[in-house]
Amino acid sequence: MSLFLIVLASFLASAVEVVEAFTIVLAVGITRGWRTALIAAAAASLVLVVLVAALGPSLILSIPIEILQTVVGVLLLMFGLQWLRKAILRRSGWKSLHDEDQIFAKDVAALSSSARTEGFVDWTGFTLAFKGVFLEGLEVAFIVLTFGTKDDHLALSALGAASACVLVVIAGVLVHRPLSRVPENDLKFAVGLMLAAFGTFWLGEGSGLEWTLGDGMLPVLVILYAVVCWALARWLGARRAQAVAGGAGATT
Amino acid sequence: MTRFLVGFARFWYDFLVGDSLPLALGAIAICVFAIAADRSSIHGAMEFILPALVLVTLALSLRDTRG
Repeated sequence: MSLFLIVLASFLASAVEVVEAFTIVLAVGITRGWRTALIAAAAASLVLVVLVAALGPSLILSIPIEILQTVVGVLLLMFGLQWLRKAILRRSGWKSLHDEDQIFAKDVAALSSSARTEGFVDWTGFTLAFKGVFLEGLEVAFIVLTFGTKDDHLALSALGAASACVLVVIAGVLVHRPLSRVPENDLKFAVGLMLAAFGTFWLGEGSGLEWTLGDGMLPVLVILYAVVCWALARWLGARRAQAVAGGAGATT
Repeated sequence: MTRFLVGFARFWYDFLVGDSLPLALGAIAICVFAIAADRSSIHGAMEFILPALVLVTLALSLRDTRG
């Protein structure tokens, strides 16, 4: 079960990040040329692969497992709770929904208004596409590495991430527009649940706790967190409705 | 160089802490508590306490949400 959850969590988290990176590359490709966009995306991907290859195995081999589990647990918890908090605020209307079409239009407008540089690549476009792919990719790398540290599951975790990258890029090339139909906000909610559940589980194991259900505790944690987050979103949604009715309707 | 370092630090801050510092501090506090509880009498109950602490931290981070 935990193996399936590791692949699924890596897949979903990576899909969300790759969709965001794809939007930036698409905006650069359309406004500044595909050569610039693709070279920047390839360069950023190469830097990421080198980073993961250099740091991943050495992290797993050189740090004692209890320390690694505790550090990974708390990092996943920080990361997962952050995603969950944003997802709850979005679902309850306190934060505007993540909209790829809107982000794409903003990027295209910003890129169209700045002058193109002469040369093999356009440096404004290159910088934006490189930064977008590198930063979103770094999040994917972080997730792959943290999931991969547990019992040396790096290959499984990387498989989930690689599948997501391939699938999103194929979908993006086919539709040739921002992947706004991907239910990104729901995916982020699901990923937040899994990150928080894995974080709790590994933090417990790292601090000497033996879960009664073993790996079976992971789906229990996911379901428990989902129910409570759903209740929190409903409660905040009701408060939001009251605030709108009372005239304090600004979205945070 | 300074700009790069500031940008790098800001990236990791946004990445790990995001827009809720109390939430990040809460996660670290849970970690410290879990380690401290390892050899205490509540160790056996930690599998119930740990998820409860996570949910309380999340709920507290949402407490001040207002329009």
